[in-house]
Amino acid sequence: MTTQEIAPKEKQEATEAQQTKAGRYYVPDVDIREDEQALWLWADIPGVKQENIAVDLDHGVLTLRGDVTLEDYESLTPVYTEYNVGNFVRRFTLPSTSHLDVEGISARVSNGVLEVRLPKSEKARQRRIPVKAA
Amino acid sequence: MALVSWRGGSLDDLLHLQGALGKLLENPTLGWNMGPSSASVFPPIDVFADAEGGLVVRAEAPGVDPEKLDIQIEPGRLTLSGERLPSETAGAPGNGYHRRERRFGRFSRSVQLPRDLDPSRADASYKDGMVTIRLPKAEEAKPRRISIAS
Repeated sequence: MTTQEIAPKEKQEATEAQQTKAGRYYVPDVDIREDEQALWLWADIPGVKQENIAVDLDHGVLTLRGDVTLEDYESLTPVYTEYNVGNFVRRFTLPSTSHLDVEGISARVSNGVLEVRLPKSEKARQRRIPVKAA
Repeated sequence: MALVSWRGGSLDDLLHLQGALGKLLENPTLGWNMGPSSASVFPPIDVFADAEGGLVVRAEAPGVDPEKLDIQIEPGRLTLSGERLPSETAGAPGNGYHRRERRFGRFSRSVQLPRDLDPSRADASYKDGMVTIRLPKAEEAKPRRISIAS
């Protein structure tokens, strides 16, 4: 797995019509994994500072948003380009928030990767029912 | 190419930058010719000219441990290589994934550089998943005004 070459991939532009701000928005690449205790989410948001990240949960919709830092591009003229610069936004409809411990949701960012942990509520945790011999 | 300045509101800044980058993305012949398009290789790289004639190379490389990032500069060439690994909290690979869009593994990319830069004064940083390499123009390559003795 670790020796595998990274596959080519292009940034996808967010096409949602409801963005009120002008400019291009991009869809961050995301991994979502579920384990016994929680739902984990990782999103690539390069160039976004911690204070410019917003994670919101509203009516079962989880919104991730990150605004890029433009200071680093001041007084620079592009001469060769493979990526465009834009803010990141992505929304997920959670299957059912009653299965999640909403108060326990936590998020952190490290090296441009946002990690969100959505712990499952007690009743939603997987249980194995012991089978007794009759 | 005209020097674009990004003063004013941050929205104007963003629109300016996106416009300038978009023009190059749509029409690569405007900028440097780097051979066949490598527009979808990890990590994507942008190259900028700074106000003093130097170059700034930026790469979007989120989730790379800076310890595993290697930057080599030789005359006319810059190589960026490293390895991107899943987060330690991700557990064993292959289990319980609902979505897998992020890719991991080793990467290596090279960028051709003009010869009039001074690699000995180059500096590199890694912040918020962005690699930034600044290569100042060599002093001897800078224009000099010669005063005329009367």
